[in-house]
Amino acid sequence: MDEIGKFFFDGTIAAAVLPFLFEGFLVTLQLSVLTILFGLALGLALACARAYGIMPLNLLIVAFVDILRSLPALVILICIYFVLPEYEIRIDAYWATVLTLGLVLAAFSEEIFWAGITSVPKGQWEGGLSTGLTFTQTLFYIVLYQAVQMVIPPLTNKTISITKNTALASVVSVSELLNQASSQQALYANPTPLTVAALFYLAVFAPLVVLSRHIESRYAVKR
Amino acid sequence: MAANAPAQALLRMRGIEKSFGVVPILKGIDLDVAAGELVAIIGPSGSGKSTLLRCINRLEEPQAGSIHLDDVEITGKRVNLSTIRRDIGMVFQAFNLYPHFTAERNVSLALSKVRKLPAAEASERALAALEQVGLRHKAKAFPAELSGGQQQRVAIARSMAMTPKLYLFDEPTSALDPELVGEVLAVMQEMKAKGQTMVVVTHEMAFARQAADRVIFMDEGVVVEQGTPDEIFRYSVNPRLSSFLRNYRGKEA
Repeated sequence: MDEIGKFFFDGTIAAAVLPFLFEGFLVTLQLSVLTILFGLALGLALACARAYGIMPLNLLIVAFVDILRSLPALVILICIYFVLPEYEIRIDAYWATVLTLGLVLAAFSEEIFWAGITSVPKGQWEGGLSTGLTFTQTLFYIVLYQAVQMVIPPLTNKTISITKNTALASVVSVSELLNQASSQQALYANPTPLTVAALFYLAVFAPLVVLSRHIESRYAVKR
Repeated sequence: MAANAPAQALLRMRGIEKSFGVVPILKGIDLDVAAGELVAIIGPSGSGKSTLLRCINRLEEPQAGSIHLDDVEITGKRVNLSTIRRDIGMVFQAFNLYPHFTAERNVSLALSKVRKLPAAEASERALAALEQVGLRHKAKAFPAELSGGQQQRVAIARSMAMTPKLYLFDEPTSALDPELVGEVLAVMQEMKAKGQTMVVVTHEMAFARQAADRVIFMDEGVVVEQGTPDEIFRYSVNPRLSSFLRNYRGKEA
């Protein structure tokens, strides 16, 4: 039993690989933050644009959203990293990952934000419009806050589940956490680096999960 | 301005038509409202009275007819809706206060964003409007912390603060518990006493009888009868109106 434990968590190996994994951890952290910022900002912008009901634009938004929601993130990443260069568009592996996950998060979050916007009662729009606020003012001062407030739980949920896909970046050889752990694991022929990596993943995402709970209760709709 | 238009009427509606799909809701309504007048519109559900009211600030688009407020044509193709609506206050059945803002911010939002007043002045005018509806002490309260009657008074203050030329009330007391109706009607009566021009769609017959200068009875998209409260409630022999009022008294008893 002891030996099995030691096999999966060997203190000496853990100490030796820690610096490498820490580097990977920092890369994963950066990828995650950039994905969240880019993805949520684009998702919110698309949902707002959709609210104006400009038909050709809305068809484009819906097409974008539906395609990106249907494709596995790994397929999109491979297209961006391996296929685009065929057309002389070169994006390095790091930014290809941010772009991929950001677009996927944008697609999912657009749908979530949009659901929120359409759930705000019509009377809120009419209240604002009747005082002379323009459509845009009503959207931004009155509707959007209530829309976002309603969708925080599904939004944080989806954000976390998509952001965890930063591990896919190992496929295009970004030296993020999983990639570092796999190479160290191969070097030592021992799974300890993966165990340490799991702890690092907890260190990135457990606070995010806790933070999302905090945001959910802080902005919960008062009834 | 057309020279033959009646000079004294503040609001002039001519031939207003509106249908939802194939269902005609308004079948050519003419209505004038003079400055300082309180016009009550009564009628059964589905008679088109709320739709008519909502055409006045174009929350509904009339399909035919014209509406003038002063010398501005509201129904014009190129009108700026924001410019028109800042001069027409509206009070809704469901209040439609913004739940994420305090009472004061609910009132001051349009003052700062539409009237473009500096923050201090917007706030001062908001507080003055809340004072008029007796709720200055609730300025920092959120809508969820107020009773229905208080929320509706804040909504009235929100319109009042914009100093509109005309107020529209769409069944302002229909969502209220019976014991809260009085405080809202009292505020409306004060507004009337101050000479405000008001069009009120209501089911409160006692209010219509007591406060209105003129009562309009609508049914099936037309104005069936109009006149002073006495003419409508006491002397009318119109069968549809009598049947409506009888039905009404039946429900209230």
